[in-house]
Amino acid sequence: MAITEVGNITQHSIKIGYSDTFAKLHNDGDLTVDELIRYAWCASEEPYTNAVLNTDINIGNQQSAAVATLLSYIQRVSSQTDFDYKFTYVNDRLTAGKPYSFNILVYAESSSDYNAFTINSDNGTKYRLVTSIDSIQKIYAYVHEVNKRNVSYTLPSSGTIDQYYSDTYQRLRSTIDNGEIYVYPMTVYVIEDHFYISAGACFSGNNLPREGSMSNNFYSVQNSYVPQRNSWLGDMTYRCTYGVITNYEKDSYLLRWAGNDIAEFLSERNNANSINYYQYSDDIGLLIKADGTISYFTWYMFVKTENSIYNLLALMGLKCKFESGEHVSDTLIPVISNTMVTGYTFDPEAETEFSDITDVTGNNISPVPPAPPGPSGDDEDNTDPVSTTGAPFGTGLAHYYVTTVDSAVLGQISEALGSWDIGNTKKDLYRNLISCKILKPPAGIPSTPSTFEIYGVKPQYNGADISIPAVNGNPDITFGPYSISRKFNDFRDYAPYTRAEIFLPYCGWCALPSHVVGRSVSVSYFTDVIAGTVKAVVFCGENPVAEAAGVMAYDIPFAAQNVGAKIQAANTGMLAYGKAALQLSAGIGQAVATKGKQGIGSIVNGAFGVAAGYNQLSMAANENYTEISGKAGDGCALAGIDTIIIKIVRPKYGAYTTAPYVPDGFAHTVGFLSMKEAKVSAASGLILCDNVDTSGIGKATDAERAEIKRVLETGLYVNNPPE
Amino acid sequence: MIISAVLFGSRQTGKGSGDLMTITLYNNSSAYNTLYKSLDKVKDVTAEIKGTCSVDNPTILIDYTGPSFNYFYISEWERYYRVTNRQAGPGQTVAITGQSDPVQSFASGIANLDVMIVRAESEALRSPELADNMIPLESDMQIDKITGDNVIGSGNGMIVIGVI
Repeated sequence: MAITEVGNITQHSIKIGYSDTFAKLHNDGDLTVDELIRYAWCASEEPYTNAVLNTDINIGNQQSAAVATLLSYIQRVSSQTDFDYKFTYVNDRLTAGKPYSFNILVYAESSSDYNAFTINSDNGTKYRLVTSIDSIQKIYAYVHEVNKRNVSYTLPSSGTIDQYYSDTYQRLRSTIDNGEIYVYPMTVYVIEDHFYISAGACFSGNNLPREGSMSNNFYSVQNSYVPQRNSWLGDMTYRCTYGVITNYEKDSYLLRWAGNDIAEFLSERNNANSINYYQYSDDIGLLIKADGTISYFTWYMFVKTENSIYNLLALMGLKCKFESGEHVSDTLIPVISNTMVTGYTFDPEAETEFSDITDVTGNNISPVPPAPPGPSGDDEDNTDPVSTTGAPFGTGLAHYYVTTVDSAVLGQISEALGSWDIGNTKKDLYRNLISCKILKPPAGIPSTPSTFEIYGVKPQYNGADISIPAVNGNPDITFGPYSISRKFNDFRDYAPYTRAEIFLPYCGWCALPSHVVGRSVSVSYFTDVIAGTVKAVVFCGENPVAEAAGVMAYDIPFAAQNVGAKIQAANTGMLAYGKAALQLSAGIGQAVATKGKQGIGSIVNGAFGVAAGYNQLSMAANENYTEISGKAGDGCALAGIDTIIIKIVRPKYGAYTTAPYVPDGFAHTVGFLSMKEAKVSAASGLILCDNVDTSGIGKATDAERAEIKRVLETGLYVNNPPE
Repeated sequence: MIISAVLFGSRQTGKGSGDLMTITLYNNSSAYNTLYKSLDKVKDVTAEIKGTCSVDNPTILIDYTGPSFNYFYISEWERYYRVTNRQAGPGQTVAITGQSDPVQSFASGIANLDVMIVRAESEALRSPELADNMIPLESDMQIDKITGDNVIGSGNGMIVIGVI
């Protein structure tokens, strides 16, 4: 699971709580405090406590890692019953082409919905389900919705749901006695690799929760989850998977789960014809309302993607700590400051491990971003934006082809050119082969299968055309957005106190203007495949705020003239270059992976190989050859850090751990800068005023006015007037 | 404002020098520069002006035994005073000298003043975006990091061949 926020940047004031379940894990030593934070939820007064009610979680907002990585909700809109709309609803909130990774809950509400249960967005292939729940398997997590309340209850791992009666019955009764009549608990739990759903409905009346057709809803887990699906009235627990989950391909699992298991689940409910119109569903599970007429079934179901089962458990468990809208947990984690989520990534394929969350203290950020080698050697240098004028695009080439680094492909082309015997054609072919590069583009270059062709001629290899994808256009790739959070929420968040820099792969470090703090930036790479150049432009909203240019390719120089015997030598050189370039590329990859001496050594060795290949090409050339392609690329640009890094350098505030990050007593004894005109009575506590006009005080003597003026200008403590 | 007064121990009725008047004794627990001080009333007593004194810094005589006090109010003059000196006289007579406290005496007028507040304790009056050089800043810096997307990737890359 990708984590999208750094906790200690923003999370200094939101108090959070956590569930019994996770508290137990913590007490048992299975979760550290930081891990616990991961599964925390805001206190009830916080704005996101009820985010599940009506909104998705804005990951760009300033929330804790825990919140930011929890869930994004797709809320049903009463006027909109098209299931696909719900996906659109989320997608509309995502900038096209930018990878996001967070969890999505999907609610379906009618029998037709699950039939349309597909992920059909551009990001659909990125959705997936978690592979296992190894760390917290056999946890029984509950959420009980009592209208808009959550009833605390924890099922022991070996217990039965029958305890539900004794533990919570009175509470439910009390709720009902207050006129809130329907209770619809739902349980989702995990046993090894299986998800289970247990749902039930209870109806008002003296015999709750056994009254009505929904009686005997609560069976022991051990007895209920398989294979008693057909007796759903007696067994609401439902096993939602067939067999062990081994992978989470959408088609193989997600659809199967939704299309088959839930379909049966729904069918059973449908046959029962007992569940009526839903009132609402907070987030997880089932909430059903029967307002006197029971004739139609409606329900919510959920689909979990990514790591959401963890979050689901966390949310459910934590919500159990809320009653009547009040947070009743006696254990609060006061702040998440000094806690940082590391290893976060926007890669939706990435799984977050517990170890991703580590402590940091004071100025010790771990891990410290390593200084990139190459054109921007350290943290402080090369911070000025690099401006480029004009675009090196439109080089007028008719075609260009792209393939993976494979000397065999080059060999095929080279050999085809060398063996093509149609008079002077070979010479022409070489002449028109104008560019050859090793390319490391920001993202996959879109291409289509094609046949290699030069000037209308299709050189053949072993009697067949050479198949090689053709590039279509110069792709523009956008990354982000990345939220640059404020820390102090005052002037210290801006220059000259705080400065932000961004490392742009291929280009190096760029200073960002001060106003990006508190906003989000994205990075668009504009590429020129043929030139091998790339320009990175940093946008804040729609406005470009910084840019830098770099290279993304190594040129492979070649020449064309006097085909004859030179061609063979050129072929040899080209092949050698291609192999060497392959070595170099592999070395780069290794260097990127290891960021160590070994990787750098591979680069060096590869570079030697390139040099040797280049020498062979040079030897093959004579004064009649014209070198068309330019210099060898600046390989250093590709040998550094491969990820975008935003560094926010702030004044150290380690001594002041809570907002507003000033010494204790500062506000009372020194006061904050105000420069506001107001009546004295509008103030509370200390004020210092400037050039006070005391003419409004009629009965005071001059000496008294002078004294009043002096006090107001040197510091007056304003209390409330006596009643 | 100068008021003539009688000698120590002489008492007269009526206003002015030697006049008797009622003052209220308090204990003040607030700092001097506090608007609407926290006053605990001790007692109303009859007082007599001692000699010639100013309204700003009067000395008055009272017959008093009881709890200590540090503040008093002269309703005749509509002013509050801090006790700056106490001298015991014959019997229960005490001479108390006060210093006018215009902050308390004219509290309602002060409260109604329109002022330019330079600094304030309350967050409501704070202008957080204004650079405040009174907030201590360490020269040392703290670095926060946001790691974005992998741009280059770890593959071997591609070969691009351009032709005419």
